[in-house]
Amino acid sequence: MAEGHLISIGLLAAMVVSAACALAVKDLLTAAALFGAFSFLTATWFALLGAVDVAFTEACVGGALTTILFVSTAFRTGRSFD
Amino acid sequence: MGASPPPRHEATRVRRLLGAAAFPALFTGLVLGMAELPEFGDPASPASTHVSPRFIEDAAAETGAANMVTAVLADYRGYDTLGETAVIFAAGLGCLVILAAAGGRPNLPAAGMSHPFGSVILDTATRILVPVVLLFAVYVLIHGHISPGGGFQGGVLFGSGLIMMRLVWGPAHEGGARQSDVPAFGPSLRSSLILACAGILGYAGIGLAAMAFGGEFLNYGTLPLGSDPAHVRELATLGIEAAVFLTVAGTVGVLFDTISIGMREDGVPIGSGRGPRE
Repeated sequence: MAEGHLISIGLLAAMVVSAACALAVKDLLTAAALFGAFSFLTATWFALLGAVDVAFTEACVGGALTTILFVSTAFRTGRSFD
Repeated sequence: MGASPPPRHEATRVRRLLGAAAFPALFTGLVLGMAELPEFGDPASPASTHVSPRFIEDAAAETGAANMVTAVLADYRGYDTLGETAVIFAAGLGCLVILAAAGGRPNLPAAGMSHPFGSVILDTATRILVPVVLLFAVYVLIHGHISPGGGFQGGVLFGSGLIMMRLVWGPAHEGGARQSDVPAFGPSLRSSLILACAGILGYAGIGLAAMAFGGEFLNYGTLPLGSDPAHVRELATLGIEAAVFLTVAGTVGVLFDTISIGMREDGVPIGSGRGPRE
């Protein structure tokens, strides 16, 4: 039980860190990658809680799809390599 | 905030005071209300004593789906899922109207980024990954009954696989800044839209077919697909999942195409009337 708590706390802390970093960095491409990392951590946490279907959806949509869309949008706005 | 603060009118101050008073009151009320809710995961809560046992005990026998999440989403709560699918479709249409209207050309074949990522490493990785992703997407769709997954996840995976390839390889049409010898392929924007429409219409069509055979809307038990009711529901659920798959994969294609098509070399939408960026 204590071990499970430690993993949860570690995951949640990593989520907060990656979200804060995604907001802080100037480079849009880096922000998109960090957001993908945040989604992946969220999906892992959902899976730990037993919500496997939700975790799967989060991994697909957050980890893959929105990251791809963010990257293509970063390219379109032309602010990715400032 | 500038150097000189804007003049504060009496009405603004009153509004701010009201806001400052309303926020803690609302917050306290909501927190107190939450205290009355059952504990998280409480086995004695109404949801755990009435709703969950019904689904846990009867879902597999009634719907033929071992994955209860699929049984609830595609069968018991099929009407909700129809609404969700329509929302996704509407989101794709909204992007199309807002972004492509600025200068996109909907008839371009299989659009890609006008500035592809193409490098040898990315090209090779995509070549290996994309077929696996597409195959896995279909597996996820078909296995939604018995393992986590289903039409939505499968559709997202399929669409992501297609647009990942276009992101790396660039556009397939002539004049594109293509760095790879492999042209991007996949449905054009028009075909993506048709796929998405076919998905949502197929979903509603299955519901209407159930009505035509004497049942309620989306109550699949009456469909003439066999004698075993659980098997009939299983087949109809697979049809629903396939419809969701088409809608989601089509919408993903529409989203990416509206973001990426119609770009000139300098990144300005064709026909937008704006000059090149600084």
